[in-house]
Amino acid sequence: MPVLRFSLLLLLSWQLQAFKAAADLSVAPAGLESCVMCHGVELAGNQATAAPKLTGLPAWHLRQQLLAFQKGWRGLLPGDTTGPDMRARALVMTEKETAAFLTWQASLPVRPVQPRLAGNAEKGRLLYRSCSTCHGPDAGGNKSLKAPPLAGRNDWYLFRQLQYYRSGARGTGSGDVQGAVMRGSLAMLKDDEAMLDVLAYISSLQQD
Amino acid sequence: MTEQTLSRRRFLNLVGAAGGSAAVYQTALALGLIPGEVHAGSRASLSKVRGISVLILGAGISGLAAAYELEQAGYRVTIIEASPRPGGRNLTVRRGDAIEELGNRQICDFDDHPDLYLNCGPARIPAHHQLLLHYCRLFRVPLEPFINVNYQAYVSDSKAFDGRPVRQREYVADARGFMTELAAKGMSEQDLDKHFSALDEERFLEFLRAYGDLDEKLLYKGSSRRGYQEGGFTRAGVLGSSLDFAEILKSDFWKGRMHWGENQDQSAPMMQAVGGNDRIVAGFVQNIRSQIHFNAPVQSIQLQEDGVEVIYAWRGRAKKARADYCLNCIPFHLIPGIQNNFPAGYVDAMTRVPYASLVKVGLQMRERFWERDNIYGGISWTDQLSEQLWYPSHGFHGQKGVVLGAYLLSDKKGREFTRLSQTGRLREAMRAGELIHPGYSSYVENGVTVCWQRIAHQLGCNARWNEERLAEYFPILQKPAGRHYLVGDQISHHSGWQEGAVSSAHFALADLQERVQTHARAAV
Repeated sequence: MPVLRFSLLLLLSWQLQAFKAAADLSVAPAGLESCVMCHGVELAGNQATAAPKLTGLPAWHLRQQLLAFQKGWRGLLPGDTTGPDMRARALVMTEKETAAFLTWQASLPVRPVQPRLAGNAEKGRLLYRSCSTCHGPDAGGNKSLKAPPLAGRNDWYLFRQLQYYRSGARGTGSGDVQGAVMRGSLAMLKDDEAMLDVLAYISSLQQD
Repeated sequence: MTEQTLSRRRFLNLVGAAGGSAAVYQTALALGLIPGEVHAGSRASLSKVRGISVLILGAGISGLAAAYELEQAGYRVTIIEASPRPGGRNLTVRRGDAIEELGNRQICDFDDHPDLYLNCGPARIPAHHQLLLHYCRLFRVPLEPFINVNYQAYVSDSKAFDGRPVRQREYVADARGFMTELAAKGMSEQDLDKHFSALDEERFLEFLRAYGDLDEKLLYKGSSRRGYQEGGFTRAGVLGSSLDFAEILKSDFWKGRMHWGENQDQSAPMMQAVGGNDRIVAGFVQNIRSQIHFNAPVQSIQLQEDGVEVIYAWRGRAKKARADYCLNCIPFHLIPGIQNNFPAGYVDAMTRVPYASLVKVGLQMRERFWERDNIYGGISWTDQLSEQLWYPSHGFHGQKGVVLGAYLLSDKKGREFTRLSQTGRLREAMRAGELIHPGYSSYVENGVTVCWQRIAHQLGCNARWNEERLAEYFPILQKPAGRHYLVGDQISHHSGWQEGAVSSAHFALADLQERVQTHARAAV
């Protein structure tokens, strides 16, 4: 018996170790596998599927964006080429799924993003002053103003959203108050160059 | 490795660094590493080995072909597949089958009948795709003719003929008639001595007459090629009036669709598997002994000094697998979303090639009304969103049939169509069908839509290569990263074809074998 018990213990500890090693990575809970298909393992983002990193975002913002997709403020306006796929999934997302998603998302490690775009961060610093009123001097976001954090987000994603705001593919939906505010604030970023500069500055604010 | 024992593989890498993939290919041909055929028939013949393991990511056609060949040669193979079924984009749906579209899961409601199915992915096999056909032969997958071009089918273009559908035979016969008549008139007005001898000139006029079916005076007065309006059997046939050439020019059919069957990959005779093209997948699966882990999406791929380690999800847990080599047919735009330690340039290339947004719609029709309109198989072309209408090549004179009610090859149109609701998509396909066959919608019993950009674990159809991307990124992605090879139709010049998938697998296998043999020699 003692031998058997010892072997069992050995087997158990070996299995636990094997499990621990593989479990360093967090797998999507049942029903949320499709989140990973686009947004990547542990929601770290995938530029090739145009799906941004979702870790590190506060729950209030994620809920707000799901609502925006469901309402058609995102993913329905002409010119939005990337949003319709997310809107299709958001439309069938249940409250139970949303709650499970937010719990899982909050448990995931937040990894820094690699800047993919080039801009002049020094020029961007000056341009960012007006952005900081809502998004905060450290680009950490402001819950009471419903302004999301920008530091640590994918620059390619932010760039696309800025372009959507400029073209009206975002921020023009009926009832989209925050979107309208953001679109109204775009006057400072008059062209792609200004956008890239401000994004370069935001990238520099990312804390590793 | 010393200079004296420079391996063929190392040599190829040096050639590649100097001259790119084309140079590698030509050199490999010269070294006898690849049989001398661009793709068809370039089968890697693997020597027997023992104790070498290979992980295959994705049970698509390339993964299955690789698994079969490796097994035959004695490799230990494990296949990891994200979805609950094998085949990748080779998907045939029948009654009760699921279409795993994100946000719009569908269950196929066709009647339970062997003829009633939809090939959602590859549907036609050209006769020169001999690598794929080799496996069909080997696994005894019954094939039957696939009708790709049918002159009885229609051209429907809102910009021409007042939007009235026109039979392709009328269009083609009249277009050639008018064109050759013009050319013949031009002949007599020009000094052609420089180009033709008197005899040549006479033969050229005869050529034009034959090509356009012109009369003795080299005029086009209609042709029986366009079909008789009436008669032709017990009394003389009567020709209808020819189409207006100006109207022919207004349509877009001549821009490519008119010559569809002249493309090498689209020319007659073509084939399909009897009962659905997933019979090819079944052929592979029946002849593979290796374990296939289904419902196991890959989470991490780590290159190691002497192998590859993979983590996959299974029943909510992360599981590990490791092998000496790895062949990966996961659509490469999904791979940057998987944890990896690949070289930066390798991952970057994966973000540079977009994936197609092809769409197919299958409609079950209560009657095969088109057969009463002289149409057996083939394609009608429309300038509406739905682009094509395919009539089934099998089950003639049966009660019901599944038509391909829309097949969008254009990404722009595909994205637009994908955005529609399920009802909207079916309605749009039916609207276009009505323009070709009045009363079309009344025959529709049910339908499925396959928008590849939203299908789980695919999120796109084929990789959209163009010359620029091929030059810049193809060599990077075709080359292995460590002991990891990307395969699939995506890593071929035939993206979107099963032959591309099988060819890429054999290309990787030839390289893998070379490395295995080099190691074996080094060990001795």
